[in-house]
Amino acid sequence: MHLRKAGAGSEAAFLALVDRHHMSLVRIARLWCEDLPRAEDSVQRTWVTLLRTLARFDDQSSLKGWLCSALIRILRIDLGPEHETLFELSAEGAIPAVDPERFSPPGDRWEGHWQRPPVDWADAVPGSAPTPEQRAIIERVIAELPHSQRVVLVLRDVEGLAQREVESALGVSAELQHRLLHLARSRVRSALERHHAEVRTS
Amino acid sequence: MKIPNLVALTCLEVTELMTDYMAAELEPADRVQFEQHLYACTWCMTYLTQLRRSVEWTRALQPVEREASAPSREALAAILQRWKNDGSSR
Repeated sequence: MHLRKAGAGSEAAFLALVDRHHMSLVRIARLWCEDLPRAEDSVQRTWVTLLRTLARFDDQSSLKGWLCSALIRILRIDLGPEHETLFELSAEGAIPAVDPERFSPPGDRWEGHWQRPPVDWADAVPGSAPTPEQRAIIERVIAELPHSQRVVLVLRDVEGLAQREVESALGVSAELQHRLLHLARSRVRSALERHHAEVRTS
Repeated sequence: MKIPNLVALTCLEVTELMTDYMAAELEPADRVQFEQHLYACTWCMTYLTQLRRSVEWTRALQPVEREASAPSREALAAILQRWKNDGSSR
């Protein structure tokens, strides 16, 4: 609805779209471009691109997915060929999702089963909101993730893009996305587990 | 995802399959095997619950300031105005 009205020139409708998506796009831009004014500039040009192509916009497309694809194309061009490798995601150098030493070693009767099981989280009830401390931990883990894992986690779990939208925007296969997402989520869980263990022993 | 010929899954294997399970991407027979492990293993069940909470909490990380800043809104409103005035760009 807002899209159609924006296409007809409604400033209110256009700004409603901006309010809904702008901050997400800035966050996505900063996955590749730490400089905030430069990231904002790329996002602004994404909105210009949307206006220029509104007449051809397919109603069946997700606007957020479309904006994200357009933004990534703009960033690739702006950052130039010397940064092209930042857009080629890989699972190289990834550490295992769970520390292998937490499982019984090969040859043991319980090989591959927990020998240091997960620490219970008393407050991990479904639907509970993260505390400010838990949010800060997750933000810190995301900032410290390897680039490819950070990109996939932010696009899929924080911004809620579908697998096919990320595949279309970055050309990253479903299988690789799955691997990167699993590794990233595991690191977040692991950091939260350490936090809970510390709280319990303090 | 197809689990390669496993009679019984270890906890290590189960933790590696959790994202596939959460996305409902295990083959039906593999899903049964995965769930049978969960029925018997409290620790893997705990791990799955924690992974689910981690994803929920990550999804809750939307910026506190959702609206675009005033300068951004002004700049974009000006862009819209120019676009409206420039018939050739439509």
